[in-house]
Amino acid sequence: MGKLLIILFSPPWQLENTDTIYEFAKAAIKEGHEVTVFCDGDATYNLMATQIVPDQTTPASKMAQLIKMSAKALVCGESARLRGIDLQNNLIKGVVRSSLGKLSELMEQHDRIIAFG
Amino acid sequence: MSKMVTKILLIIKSPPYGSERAAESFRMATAMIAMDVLPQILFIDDGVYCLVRNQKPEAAGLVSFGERLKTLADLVGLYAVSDSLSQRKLKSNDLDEKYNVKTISLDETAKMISQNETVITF
Repeated sequence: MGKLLIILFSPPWQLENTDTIYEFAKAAIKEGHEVTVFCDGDATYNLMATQIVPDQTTPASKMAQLIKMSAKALVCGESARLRGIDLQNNLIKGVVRSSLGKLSELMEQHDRIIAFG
Repeated sequence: MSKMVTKILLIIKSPPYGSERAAESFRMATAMIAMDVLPQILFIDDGVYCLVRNQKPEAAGLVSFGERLKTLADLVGLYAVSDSLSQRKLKSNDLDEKYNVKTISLDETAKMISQNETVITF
């Protein structure tokens, strides 16, 4: 089975990219593929645990579901820092701090890379 | 273990100001080069405005990416699509000479895209 790297650049609530990658990653995981989602730039907001919408699924809860389903969720630490996001306290559980340098290594290690921005 | 070096093309179609997309692509390219992954960098559509000479973003309180772009130009080279330039009535001498931009046709662009394993657009 393959290793899929999804790079997300867009924030929640503006485009439907987070919804798209959720469905896409879910389908890939069900097919037995290994999925990694890297959130860069404004996409770091997708991982904020404090998103609350009554009776509605949030982008962060979709990301949390992907993590439960075995996806790896990585965040660009510098992007988060620039936006005042506290990596220790603001993000959903299971998100791993990463960097653009590590993303370059990930690109080498994955079979397919797809970017949503 | 890593496989052979992945061939990556970064396509910049966003203008230099109004969003952080172009600047983010330069940040990513810099990180890649630091990790010995050498991307190709291609400017298309409004992205070609990044290459125009005499930009003074400091005058508007913005951070200049000129030096970073010059470094990228020196390390991996910069390409621009000639159609995108002509559509905007830009000529080669409107571009900053320090970037030493190579202009390519749409056919060559198609070839460049097909020769890379991964294409990321900004």
